[in-house]
Amino acid sequence: MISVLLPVVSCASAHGTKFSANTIITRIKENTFFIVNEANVFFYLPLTKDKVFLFFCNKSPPCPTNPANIKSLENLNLHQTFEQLLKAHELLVYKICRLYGDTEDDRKDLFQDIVIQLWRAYPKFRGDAKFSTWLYRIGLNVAITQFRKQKNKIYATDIESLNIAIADDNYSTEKDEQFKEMYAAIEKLNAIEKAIVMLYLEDKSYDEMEEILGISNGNLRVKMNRIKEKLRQITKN
Amino acid sequence: MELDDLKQHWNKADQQYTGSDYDLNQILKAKVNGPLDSLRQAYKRQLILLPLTAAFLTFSCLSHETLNYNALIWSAVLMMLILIFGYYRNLKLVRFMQQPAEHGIKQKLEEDLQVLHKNVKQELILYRIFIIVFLIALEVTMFYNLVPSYTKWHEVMLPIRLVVYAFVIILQPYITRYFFKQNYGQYISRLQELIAQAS
Repeated sequence: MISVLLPVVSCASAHGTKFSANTIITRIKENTFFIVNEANVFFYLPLTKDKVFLFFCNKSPPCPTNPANIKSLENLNLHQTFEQLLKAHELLVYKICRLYGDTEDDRKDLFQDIVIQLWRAYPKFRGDAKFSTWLYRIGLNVAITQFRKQKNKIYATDIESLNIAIADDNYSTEKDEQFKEMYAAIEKLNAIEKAIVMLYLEDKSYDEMEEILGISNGNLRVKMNRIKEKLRQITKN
Repeated sequence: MELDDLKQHWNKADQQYTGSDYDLNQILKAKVNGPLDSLRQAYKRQLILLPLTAAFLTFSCLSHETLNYNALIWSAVLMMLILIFGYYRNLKLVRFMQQPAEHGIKQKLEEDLQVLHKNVKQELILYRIFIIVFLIALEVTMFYNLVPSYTKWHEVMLPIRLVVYAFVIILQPYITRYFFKQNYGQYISRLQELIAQAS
């Protein structure tokens, strides 16, 4: 094992993405990174502004036949691909939160719950369905069945205000006022109806909706007509 | 205003969305606040506390001669072992319900409800068998006068003892259902409500 002091290479680039070719970096704690490349497996710990502590675990490449190395590398890859996929689809999660959370706190709470459940389920994601379909299933399932709105919640992480333009816009024109009314009407729908409306607004086909919700195509069409009628009635009143 | 008119406005969000800052690692360390996770935590706590208590009681009974034949403590240890088994089953049940939906949300809701109903039936049978075995063992022990601390109960007339046993057996399903409802009642109602909404 070798420990060396090196000048900071690049703190910013060390966060979550590729450090250099064939190097995987994972953040363990706020300022501690676990770095693996073809030659080394080491921990990166910044000491001061211009010095870092690199703690080498081994000098030789991680042996692919060693189960411990395989597992840690698999975990690293799993974490990294999950983070990338989540980043690419996070708007979907935000939209679910916006629809099912009544307040900003509820939405933050729900976002946290959905992300944790997605991470727990991710190792079993086999890619049979599209990632977005899988995400909708889990996200909506959490929002519908497992989410408990809480008061006076202390957050483990400070999620920035959820940047979703939906229904949070400033409504200036008459048209915008009508949009606002429509969103208010959607909030009055029951949990399953909200899910159907969301998938409809997301331009999902009835087949995709069936895949996500498990409600038959025919039943979905009937429900959609009823929902439209219900929304008409609510907005009229 | 129709729902179709809203589609365009809804999709505008995709373009206006600028992304948010959150720390994934911190989120993943946080606790989930859902009802199932609360139950999961509670069961895990029990599964740590009960074996420790049972081990402590067993150790105490074995190391103190005066406690060697204390039937009350041994019964408590036995009861704890049964509870450990019960909590383990419940933990497995909660883990099952937290599995992601493989086919569709509605199927998952139905599956969860079915599993919950099956579980309550199994619990009723399991605890009934336990109580009957326990009562038979108690009577046999008293008949052969194996444990001195049971003599007082043995002095009570047999018909009265039988009435008490019958009362315990009749009461058991209500108690089991009561605790099951305490834990899963709200969740079952919610599942039933959602299935009705999806049908």
